[in-house]
Amino acid sequence: MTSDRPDPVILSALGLIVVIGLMAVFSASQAVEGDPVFLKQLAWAAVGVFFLVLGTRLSLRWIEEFAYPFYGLALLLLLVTDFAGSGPAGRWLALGPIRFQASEVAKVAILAAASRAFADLSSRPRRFGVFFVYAGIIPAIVLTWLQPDLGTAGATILMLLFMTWWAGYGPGWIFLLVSPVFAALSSISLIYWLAFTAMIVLLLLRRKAPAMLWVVVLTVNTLVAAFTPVVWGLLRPYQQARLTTFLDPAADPHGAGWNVIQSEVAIGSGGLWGQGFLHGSQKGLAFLPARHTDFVFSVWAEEMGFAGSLLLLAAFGVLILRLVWIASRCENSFTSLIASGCAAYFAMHLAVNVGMTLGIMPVTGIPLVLVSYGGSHMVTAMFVVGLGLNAGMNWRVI
Amino acid sequence: MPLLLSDDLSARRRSARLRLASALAVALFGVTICRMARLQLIEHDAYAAKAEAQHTHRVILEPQRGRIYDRNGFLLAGNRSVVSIEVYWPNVPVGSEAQIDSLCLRLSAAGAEASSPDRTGRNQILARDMPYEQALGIISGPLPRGVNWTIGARRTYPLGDVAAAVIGRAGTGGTEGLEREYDGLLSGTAGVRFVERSAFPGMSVTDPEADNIPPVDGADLRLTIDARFQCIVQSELEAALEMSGGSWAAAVVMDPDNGDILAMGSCPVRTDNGSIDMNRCVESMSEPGSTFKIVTLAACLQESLVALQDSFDCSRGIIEVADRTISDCHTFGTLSVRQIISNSSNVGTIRLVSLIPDSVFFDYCRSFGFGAPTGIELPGEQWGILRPPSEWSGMSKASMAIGQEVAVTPLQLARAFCVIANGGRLVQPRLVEASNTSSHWRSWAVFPTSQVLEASVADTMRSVLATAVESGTGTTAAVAGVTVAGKTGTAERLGFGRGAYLSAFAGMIPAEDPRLVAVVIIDRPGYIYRFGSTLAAPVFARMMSRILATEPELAFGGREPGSQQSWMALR
Repeated sequence: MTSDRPDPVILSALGLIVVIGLMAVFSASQAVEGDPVFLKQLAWAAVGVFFLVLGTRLSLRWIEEFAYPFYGLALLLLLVTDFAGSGPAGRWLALGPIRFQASEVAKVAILAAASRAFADLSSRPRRFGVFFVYAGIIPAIVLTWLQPDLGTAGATILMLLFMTWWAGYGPGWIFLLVSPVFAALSSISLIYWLAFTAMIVLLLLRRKAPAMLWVVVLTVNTLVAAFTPVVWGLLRPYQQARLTTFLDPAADPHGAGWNVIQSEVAIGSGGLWGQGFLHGSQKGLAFLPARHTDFVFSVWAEEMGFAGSLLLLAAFGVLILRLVWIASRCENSFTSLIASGCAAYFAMHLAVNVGMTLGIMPVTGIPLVLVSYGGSHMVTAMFVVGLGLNAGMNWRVI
Repeated sequence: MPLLLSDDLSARRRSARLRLASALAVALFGVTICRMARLQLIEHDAYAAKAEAQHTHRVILEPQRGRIYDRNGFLLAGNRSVVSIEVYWPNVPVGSEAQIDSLCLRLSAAGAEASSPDRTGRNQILARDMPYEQALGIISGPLPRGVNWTIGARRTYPLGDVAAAVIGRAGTGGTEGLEREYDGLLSGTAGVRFVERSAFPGMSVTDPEADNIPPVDGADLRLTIDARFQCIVQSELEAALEMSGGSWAAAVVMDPDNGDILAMGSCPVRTDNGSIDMNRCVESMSEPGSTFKIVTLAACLQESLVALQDSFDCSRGIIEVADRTISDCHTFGTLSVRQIISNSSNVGTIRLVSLIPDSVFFDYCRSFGFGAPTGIELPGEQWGILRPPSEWSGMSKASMAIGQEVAVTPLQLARAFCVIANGGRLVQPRLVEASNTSSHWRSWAVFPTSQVLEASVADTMRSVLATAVESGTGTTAAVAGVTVAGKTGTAERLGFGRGAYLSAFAGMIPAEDPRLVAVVIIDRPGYIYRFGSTLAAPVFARMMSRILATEPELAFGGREPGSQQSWMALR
């Protein structure tokens, strides 16, 4: 069994991203007094390198074998966090001196478990197998959402959808899978709901779906549409605000819209070449919120301009496309799905976070992978890159 | 297999998926980069401006309004620091309104007129223009969130209303008097400071690289007014007005040498609605009565038409001019020129004026400064009325000779008497002696004068006016310890019914070498006070004796050492 060397393209892209991330956190930490943010982040990056190596060294076969128990463990951690979490939003779990976010562990577990499940389905197809996969994974996503961590839950669902598609399920399946989301949205008014239901019925008719599928799809969607208003009432006010503010940030410029407006102002005032490293005024004068965490991209864009932001995005683009390329080249279904999940993991986190800072996504409060300050997600992301590299090294393994 | 499922991971399907996945990724990046390009390249200027606008705060630096001093450096108009406290409701956390309430209670306790807090608006002023010393206890401590304070300046007038007619009041810009006339000079130029503002309170710093413009304080003014004299003049006017029941009173005290106005009183100071009333010294004109006879005398003496000893028959006490009869109060018999003026004989004066050609008489009226503005630095100055000979009727010249058919302001009258006091020169009255910009006092030029009369004629006239006070109509104007020269005036006030008179006295001290010229006019006093000799002259005497008590050397004259002897020769 031969294995390649780790992909140098991915490694250099990763190196560039991490260096840019450290620079951005260093710059952002200039405005944070008293907390040695940069030094902590440097330490976490070092820990991350260890996990990167670990990701490349673990046997994928072993991961496939233990994917379900690992997922079970992650579910347990999420449950514990929900009841005994600490930290600013109750998202952290203290394990002795180490504090980490169970939702980060859960992401990796979902990646492994979904890959395992889809790989099994491709070798032993089952009727409505994809529904069982989702039925198994939805609890982890719901628990993540209840952390409360809406952003991570959303990014995880997007990653899962990409993997579903990669596993061979066509757009029709994808649409049926996300149809509850549309059902929820359609509950705003009766006309929307009727139009949406008509679309579902048409799709099922066209695909000549079996009776069982009719029952399941229509039941689930009706239930979701019926209960969405109830769930909306259960959402925390700040979560509601984030969703509605996304639609119209200017409606509340001093409240929930403040973050997006200030982020746009920071990015926009960067211009082509930026205001110069460490010279961002939006950051320096503390107008930009969550400077070293969620809005670190805005700091970078303000100080390094369009050119610097493009460099960072290009590095991510290379990383993601290279992972997709690896996924397409793997002989083994599980390995391929792992690689595709890694690619989706970065693509979705990048899209959700950068989209948020640019004002084209709701403010969901997820950090920028590999860049933002924070130990748990830095370590997780490095481990995920390690898995992707691992898949690339072992693409020949059947 | 279910129809919806195409679950093979074959190489063909995979390469198709790779292409689609790559296309998806490119599309995602495309959208992101387009958005970035829009923010950073296309709309960069707008966002940079927005950032600039929220980072930099333009603070307007109010200049200090120039102070006004009297000629001895006594402060007449100054500035006091005041504090305004306001609340910006959007910054007040919901639930902490009680803190604002308690702040208002403290403000009320400190003596401010605090308005009750009301969350309906955005900005609300809780206390306006609190004296700084009162506010210090509150603003030095911590304030609730959303509350700000600003220091401003408020105009103060240490003398109160005593010099209000001259100084006026500074409202938005000056509203009256010198505050209005020199508003441009006093108000200075506002400056701008750019402050780099942080989203955190208390992190704002002045931006040293910005184009900060320091404010330029307004120029200080030093007036020719003497605050002590002003107080005397104003209080005497008020007393006289209260005693006599007149409708208004005005008085001007001038230095005849250079036209400096030492005091300028006007009563009443305020109108019924509380605003500053007009300055009667420059804004009211009226017929001057007998005080105007000096013009006739000056013309006759200067043109050598008569000598002081020449006699005129005024025995009937009546003279017919055109179709009207003008009479004297008393029947005097034959009078010399000196006696005509000192006894204020209308008949005699008309005899005298009949010797003068019309145009020459008109020229003399003009040369004494009547019918033209004095150029005093006050808004709203009246020109008076002086009609040219072409508009005269048959009796106009006679009427004018005794101070009818002309209208003058008290200031014009004072200026005319300065001609007699200073040896024949027409001075231009002025109120500002010096101004101070950037702590450097600069004296203002004294306006050039024109020689109207020969010095000897002026001296002669002064001796006639001294006789008037000594033994003529003006004896009530005599002041112990100093010689007074002056002329009474009693003018009928037309248009106010019978018994409405104007009581006037214009005089100078000391008669041999005058240092002060003063005019006192009281309009429409009670009937028993109607003559110049019964009201204005005693008021003049009281003013002068009080002024001399404060500044005794004024009694000694002081132009030339030999003036006393030449003076005696004139008598």
